[in-house]
Amino acid sequence: MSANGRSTIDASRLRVLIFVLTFGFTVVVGRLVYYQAFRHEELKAQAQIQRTWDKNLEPKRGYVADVKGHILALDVIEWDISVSPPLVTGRSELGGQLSELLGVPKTEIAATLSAKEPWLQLATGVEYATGEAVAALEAEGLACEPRPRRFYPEGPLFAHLLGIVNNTGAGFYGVEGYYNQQLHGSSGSRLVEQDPVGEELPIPPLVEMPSQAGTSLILTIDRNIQYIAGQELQRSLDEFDAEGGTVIIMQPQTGAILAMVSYPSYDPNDFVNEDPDLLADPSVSKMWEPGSIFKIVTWAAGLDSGTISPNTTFYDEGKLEVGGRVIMNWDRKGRGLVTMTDGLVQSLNTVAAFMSTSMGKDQFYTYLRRFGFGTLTTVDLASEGPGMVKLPGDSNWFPSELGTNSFGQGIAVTPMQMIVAVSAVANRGTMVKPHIVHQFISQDPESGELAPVAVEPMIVRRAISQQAAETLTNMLVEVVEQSATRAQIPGYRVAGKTGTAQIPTPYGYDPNGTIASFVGFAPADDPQFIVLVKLDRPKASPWGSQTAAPTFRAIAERLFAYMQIPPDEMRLAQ
Amino acid sequence: VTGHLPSIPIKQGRKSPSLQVILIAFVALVILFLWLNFVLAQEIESIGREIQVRTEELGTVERRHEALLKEISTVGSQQEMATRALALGYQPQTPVYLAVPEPIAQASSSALAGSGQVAVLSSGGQDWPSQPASSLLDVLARQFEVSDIGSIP
Repeated sequence: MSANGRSTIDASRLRVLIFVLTFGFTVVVGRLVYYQAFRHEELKAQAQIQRTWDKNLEPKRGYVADVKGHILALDVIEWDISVSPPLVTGRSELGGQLSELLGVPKTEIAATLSAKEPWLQLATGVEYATGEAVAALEAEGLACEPRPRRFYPEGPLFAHLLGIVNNTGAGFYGVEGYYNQQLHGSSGSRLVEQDPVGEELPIPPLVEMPSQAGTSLILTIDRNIQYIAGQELQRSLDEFDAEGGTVIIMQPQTGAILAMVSYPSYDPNDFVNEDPDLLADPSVSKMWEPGSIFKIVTWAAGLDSGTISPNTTFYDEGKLEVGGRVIMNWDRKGRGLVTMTDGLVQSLNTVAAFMSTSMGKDQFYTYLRRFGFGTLTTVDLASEGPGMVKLPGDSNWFPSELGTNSFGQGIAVTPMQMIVAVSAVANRGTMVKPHIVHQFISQDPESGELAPVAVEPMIVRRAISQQAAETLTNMLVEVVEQSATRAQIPGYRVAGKTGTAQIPTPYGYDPNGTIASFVGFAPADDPQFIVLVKLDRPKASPWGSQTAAPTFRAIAERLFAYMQIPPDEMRLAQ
Repeated sequence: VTGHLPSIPIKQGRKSPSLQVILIAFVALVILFLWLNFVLAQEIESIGREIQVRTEELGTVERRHEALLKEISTVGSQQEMATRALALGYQPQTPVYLAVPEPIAQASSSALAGSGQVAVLSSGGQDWPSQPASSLLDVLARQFEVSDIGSIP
């Protein structure tokens, strides 16, 4: 080949090379321009996502304590342990250590560690100490994630009152449900940079918003009183062979709830394995026809309206017709001429019906509303029900209801409504809002200092006059001294009323069971506590006077000792 | 020889720094800047690591604190204490009331005027024998003489 020929070939090769290089360079530059100019925002965002990690900072849920500071609900740490088998080194050694710590057979651990899956859960809800020990192994491919879990040291005794917190940190029922937002606090976030394997780079976060811990609650509940109530209620359920029951203890002047317990209860630390029907608090959500303890309200209305006085007389024939329905006494017997005090002492339905019909429906139902029936008490507990009151004008109200409602039939109330209504009598006619939180304790986000905020008692309204309340209190003392004698406590004047209510069913009243109740307060002249006892279907005796009244006495006796309330004469002599 | 010397501009009288010097200075400045940057970055990283370690320590301490709180509240729970008290031999007691045969203070209420006896109570429904007493201390002293109350171990 001649030199000219070679030169021509070289020149053409060079041109091809130049062309290829230029083309390649143009393509590269073109792609770069495309990525940099046209897909800039999208790729920037994508890179940001890959490079940064927006860590959610969960706030610490506030604790709940009783009035003396004993912790009733707190967060504890549990561990979730997972593994990425392909990243694990030293499988047999790690398998042995994990088997020993987690109490899982070696073969099972070995199978997990040599699995082909990229990620597997080894254990969840591992106890604090075990989790710490596993985390301390610092093994490659092993991930230990601490997770808060709500813990209730007192177990079933406070279950209904406190409620529960599920695994997403949301509270339900009781205090946990009502104050969920405050207890939860507010979440924060931290935007950090991460390396390709997802480890946080040791540089300051790009953006940080710290979480704010939840508010802690100090309750009005005294756990010793709660224990007394729980123990005596359980003793009564056993003794009287009752299916369940509720006890509420309240301070009538302030509306502070000192104890509130219902059985059967459940273990809040293991609520997922419990009957869901047990979760709601019967004290605020379960209605019942109150029966004769409702006569306190009827008598209060009669006295306050001036319809009756303690000595007003009525001739009791044992039955009275109201709205086409014949109302009879519990023993179907007449007592002849009786006073209103006798009517209350002997718990006569005819006298109650006489009183409500004398008042008239407008006045009677106005008093029912004044005492808060048919509406929420607005107690700070979740899942409260309003009860059920049929009013004149409602399609399901009949004139006979004026008679039956007067002795607590055809009306449904919650235990909380009932005790709040009677506490108005104990509190000389003034109704206060029941409450369970004594103090909120929140942390100042700036200074970190704790700021307690006390809850003040709140007056709702005057239900009846002071004079009417005092007169009725004296009549209720007569009830305890003459008929509900098993509620008597030597040395103390106790005011109270028994109730034995039939249980409505779709086919009329259940002939085989009753709900026995007693509501009373003491000392009668200066009440320090009011106690409501409700027993469901006691089989040993259906009567409130024989079941709920002695339960009240057992509780009140211990309360006098615990609260250091001297006997009346000693106290009044001081 | 006639003629004139070529005019020399005054500026040419000062010697300007050579390009090499400028380059060296520039490179030195760049190295200095990079070194400072490196030192600063290293410091940031070391502080970042320390923060990480401290945060982990804080987390460990907080977890320990919560575990201790759990332990304390569990041990101090009513049910647990009741069980342990029973195991130690303590028994629930019925309230004990003192029989006070005469008022220990003047009645402030007219309703109580003339009431000589302060009705107080009994243990398990049994009345304590009423004896004259001059003071509450006497009453208490006698009470504890008379009674081998309860079942305090």
